[in-house]
Amino acid sequence: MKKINFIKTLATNTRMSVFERIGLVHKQFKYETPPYLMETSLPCYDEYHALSPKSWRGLNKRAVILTILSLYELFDVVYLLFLIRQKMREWFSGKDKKRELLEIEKAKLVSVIQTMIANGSYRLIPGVLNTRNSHILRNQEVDLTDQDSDQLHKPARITLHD
Amino acid sequence: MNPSLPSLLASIIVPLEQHNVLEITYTDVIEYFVLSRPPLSSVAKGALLRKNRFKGVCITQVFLDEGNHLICKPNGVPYGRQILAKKIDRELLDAFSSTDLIIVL
Repeated sequence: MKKINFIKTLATNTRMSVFERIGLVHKQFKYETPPYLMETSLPCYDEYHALSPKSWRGLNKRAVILTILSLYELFDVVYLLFLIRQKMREWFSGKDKKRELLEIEKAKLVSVIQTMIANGSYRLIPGVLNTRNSHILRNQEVDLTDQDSDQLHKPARITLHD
Repeated sequence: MNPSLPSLLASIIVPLEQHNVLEITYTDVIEYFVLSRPPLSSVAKGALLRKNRFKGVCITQVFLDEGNHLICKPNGVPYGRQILAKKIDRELLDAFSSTDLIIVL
């Protein structure tokens, strides 16, 4: 009956604007169960409809209000999805850009190395990547009669042919 | 050396792992090539690149294949490292001589 009284107050209060009434009904319907759902008896349903303000007659007010509210909330959700989509796009394009920059820098580095090799402006140290030549790690203990170690200390300037 | 190469070299920013040391030695760089060699059969050479900086030197170590292309990790970043050092030891200076690139085989 509390809800019915609320509706009654709303209907008889002519000083309230339509928007104020909508606000009040919205609050009531959004956070509390509408009276006709709580009380399934027909008199309650009739009473609820009979108490509607005159200006709203002929419209299913609750449906209109709930539709407006649903649209508003739907808009919120859509807007949120739009923001998420935008962020995801930014994130992925940032990643692509980073990868692109990395490729450019790598290409520059390779180009410098290849140019230097082509010009012959480099020194060559053979036998390093071959781990059997572990004596390279112990420079001070190199046997000077060893051919590889001799090469190591006097790197030959050669041009590589691919 | 091509006069445009030093400026190009200085502008390269490859995201390799960075190390800051006081002195870089010949043993350090060779040790890295031996111990940190990528476990890939395509590795044919190692390249040691010297870039002079305002205070010190930047040494870039990368691995190359037969075609002198960088050996990269699955994420596209090359295997290698960059060392910012204040000094280079005598032995490494001698190894570079007047050039800025050492190729190790």
